[in-house]
Amino acid sequence: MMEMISLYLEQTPPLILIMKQSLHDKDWQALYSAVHKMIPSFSIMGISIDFENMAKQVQEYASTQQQTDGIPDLVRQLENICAQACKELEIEFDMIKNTPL
Amino acid sequence: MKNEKIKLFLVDDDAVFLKSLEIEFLQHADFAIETFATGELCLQNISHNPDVIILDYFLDGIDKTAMNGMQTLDKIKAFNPDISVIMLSSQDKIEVAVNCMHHRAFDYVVKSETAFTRLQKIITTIFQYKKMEKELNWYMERM
Repeated sequence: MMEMISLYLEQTPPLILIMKQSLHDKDWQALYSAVHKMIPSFSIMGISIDFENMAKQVQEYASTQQQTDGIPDLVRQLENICAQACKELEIEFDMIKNTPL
Repeated sequence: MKNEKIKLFLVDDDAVFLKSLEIEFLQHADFAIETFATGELCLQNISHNPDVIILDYFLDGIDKTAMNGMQTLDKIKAFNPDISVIMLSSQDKIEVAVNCMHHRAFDYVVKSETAFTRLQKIITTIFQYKKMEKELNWYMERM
């Protein structure tokens, strides 16, 4: 469990950065790739399916380059949920680490 | 049938998914598992002769210079066409699945909560086919 949390905490912040930067640069391919890589972790880490669907929507908009006006809000929501998940998982990680065997 | 454990390669640049898959396989079945974050690393170790490779389709998502899943699949098949390769992808798209089949993947699985169960079933099918093939060859040699 600790290893899984640690991998998530290692992998997710750089993906959030790529997601934000690619949105800023309107680099839709990079945005698609970053979100694509985030999707499987949602269900593994117990994040609501709503956010997975939101990420899939960003993927769709990024790949078709349609309705791009709707992307910033979705990206902001994804950023917030991932940041919150990281915060909660850091607490969980410390709790597990400090629990005597 | 060999007495040794089934040798399984798991290849994915998504470290979280890769680890979750490895844990599932180790908990539910007796496999010898090697994991790789890139197609290049998988190919560097292909001489270990895996029985089955579970390979991500989109390996060049973040690192654009990395070998993608299809290129890796082609190189695996060029090295040894008998290695069964199951492709994994987050994309539930028919054209991706068809493309994988054209490149001689054994099957295509979408990354979801049921992915592990599907993979287990596919691996069982692979070994049933291999057994049938062996038996057929045995009979053919005697005809």
